[in-house]
Amino acid sequence: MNVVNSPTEEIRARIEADSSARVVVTLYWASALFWLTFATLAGLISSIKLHSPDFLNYEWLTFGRIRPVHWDTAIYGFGGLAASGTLLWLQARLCQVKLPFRGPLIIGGILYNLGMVLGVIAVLAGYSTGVETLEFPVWAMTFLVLPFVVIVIANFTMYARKKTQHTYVSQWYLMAVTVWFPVLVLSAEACINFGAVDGVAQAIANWWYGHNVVGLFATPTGIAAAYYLIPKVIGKPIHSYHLSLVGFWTNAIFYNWAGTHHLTGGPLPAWTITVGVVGSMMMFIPVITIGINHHMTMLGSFHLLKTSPTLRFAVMGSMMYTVASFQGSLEALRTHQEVTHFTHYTIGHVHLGMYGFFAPLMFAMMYYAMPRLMRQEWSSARLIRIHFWCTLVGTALYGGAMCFAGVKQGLMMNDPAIPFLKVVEFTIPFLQLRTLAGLILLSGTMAFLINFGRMMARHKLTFADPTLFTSERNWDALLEEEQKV
Amino acid sequence: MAHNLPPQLGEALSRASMFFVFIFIWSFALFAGITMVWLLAWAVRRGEFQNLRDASRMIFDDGEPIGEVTDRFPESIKASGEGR
Amino acid sequence: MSDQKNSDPIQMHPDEDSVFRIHTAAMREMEEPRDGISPTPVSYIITCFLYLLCGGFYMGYYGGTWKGDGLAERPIGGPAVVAPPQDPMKLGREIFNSCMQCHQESGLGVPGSYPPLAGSEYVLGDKRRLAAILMNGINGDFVVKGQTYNSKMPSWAMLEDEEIAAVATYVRNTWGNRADTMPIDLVKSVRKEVDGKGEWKSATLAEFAATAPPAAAVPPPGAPKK
Repeated sequence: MNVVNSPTEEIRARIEADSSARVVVTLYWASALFWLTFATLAGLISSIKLHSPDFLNYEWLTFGRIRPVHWDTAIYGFGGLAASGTLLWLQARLCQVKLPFRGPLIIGGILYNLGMVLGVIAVLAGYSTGVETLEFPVWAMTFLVLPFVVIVIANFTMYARKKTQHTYVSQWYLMAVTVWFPVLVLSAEACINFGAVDGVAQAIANWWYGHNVVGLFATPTGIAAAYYLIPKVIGKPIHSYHLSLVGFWTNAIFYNWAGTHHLTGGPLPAWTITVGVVGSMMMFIPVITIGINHHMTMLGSFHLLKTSPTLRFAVMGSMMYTVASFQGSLEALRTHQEVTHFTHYTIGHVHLGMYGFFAPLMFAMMYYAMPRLMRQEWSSARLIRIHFWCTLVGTALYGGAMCFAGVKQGLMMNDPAIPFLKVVEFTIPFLQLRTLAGLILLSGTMAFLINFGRMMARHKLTFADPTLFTSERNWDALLEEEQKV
Repeated sequence: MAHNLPPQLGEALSRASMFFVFIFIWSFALFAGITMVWLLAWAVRRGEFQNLRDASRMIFDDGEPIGEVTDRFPESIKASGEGR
Repeated sequence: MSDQKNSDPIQMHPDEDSVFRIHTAAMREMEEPRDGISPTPVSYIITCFLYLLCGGFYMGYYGGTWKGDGLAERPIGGPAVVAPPQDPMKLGREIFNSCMQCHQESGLGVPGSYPPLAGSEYVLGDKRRLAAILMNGINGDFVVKGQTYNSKMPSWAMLEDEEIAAVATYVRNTWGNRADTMPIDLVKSVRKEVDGKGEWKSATLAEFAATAPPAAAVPPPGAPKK
């Protein structure tokens, strides 16, 4: 379109933001990918154990230890680090400022990884707290919470220093996340592991946390990424800014209530579960709103899916957001739970959400941001394609097999004429399919790792090669400009 | 731990701790609520809800303007050279 | 829409519209005439409100008693103004959902772990004793239909008298069991009688059943086997 002769303020600010975030964000994302691989491996081991119980029959790798490790490394290791990296980079870009506190942020990232390692070892060695999603002992969790102090401060500092007049919708989500996540962790730890509440109330606190850590941490970051990437890549503004605000506020209001639907049928006061069911059903409003907004934005640009890796992952993520959220809302209903509660259906749903929605959006973020941070292109388009198709096929296979098996399993368990062992036997082929799906996902992750590793290894080698972004033809001028700063 | 205490003391302790939990929860809720309303008022005053058109366009700049596709597979750039 | 009110920050649409009208010509030149501010449709807002209304209705309908001890999703009984007497078999079936975990839907229990209700002498026998078991629960060895069970049954004293009577009537008349209904008054009197006695052991329960039989008690068909 227009060839820019001298870099404007905005462009310079964007480049500055990118280069200031380089080390920190790369550190966060590289460790996120490490934990993703680790989590996938742990998940694969747990999956194999369910159909071949003798597999890796060691004390440290029993199902009761390796499965919590799988989930904790997935949500804190991959989720937490990928989301933090996304948050810092996006906020710096959208505020058009340099990333502040880079030293403390790097130390924070290292501390966070240390906490993860300690937590994983503690759980594998048998020192799990036994509370789902909070299995890490308190001393290990401390390492995960402390870096967030820096991240929160950095986030708000950037917002306070912002050079833009407006606040983009992604920023609403990102700032909300930095408020929500520490509050969630601290309240849940206070209630459960410090014993502020007892008995049934602990279970409520546990599931309030367990659901919200996905819904108020992973989901908003994913949506923030989608709200930025889709319009940015296709070069069209978001369909409706009004709708995006409605989506944000309804999401903020309703998600928090939904957690207790995990305890339907439990010895809870009926109203707590009813409130959870209503909260979940009301999530239809933000989900449909966000779904419409993203779809209308994409309308007329679907041909770009062929050529843009970022867009592929982002569109897959935002479409799966609609699908997984619909599924989740319906799953909360009591009549639905009569069949699917305590079956593989729930597991299928979680993976559709985490690996169908959240992970692809984080991948999209990395595919978009890494070349800009590292100043070089991805080395192989084929590896990107492999990664995409493995993610898509693996998630579809996983979700399909588990959801189908779950419904059938639930129906069979509700029929008193069928002995329990028959139900178990029925699920075995699907559990094997799940292992296959896990292998496919793992190969996708490996492809991404290779691509990512090559980029890190060749950093600066192709530095001068300006093949990169067609939009930045005056690349050299910008670089010179930046080096002066 | 509380099981070893005399029952009356244990009960008094748990009542006291519940009292502090309630104080904490309610004061926190109050604080959060007031902050929310204040933030909303601040955002309105600052004009965050005006001129949404510009807000929706703030992710674009002169280097990456509206209408410019900013991402593609690595090889397709080489294939098409400078063109878009 | 007609005049510009720059002073009022709430009136943002007129400004934006007028900006649009002025720039219509320029807009036509752009590749994508999207404005990014398509307003929220009125039908959408109305639908959302109707949907919220449904949520409120569900919350009211299934809120139970809105108290910490209200375990039932639907308020049961309620004010005694016109409260029609509930069919004890229907209500009992609902309550029995909580018993099914151990005694199973078939009423056969789990061999070796949880005693059966079908054909059980404790179910079909002394109603006062049955109500006492439901009220305080059981802990320890217990002989049912010649089998010894060592398990624990919790107290169900948090249920209303009407509910305990209904579930007792239900288990006395299902899976081939045939016996008379459990009177609510009996449950009421047993509740007072057993208050503070704690979980039953085999012996304490036998002692309770043997002593102080109120007028309503029926002699058991077979004495406890211990």
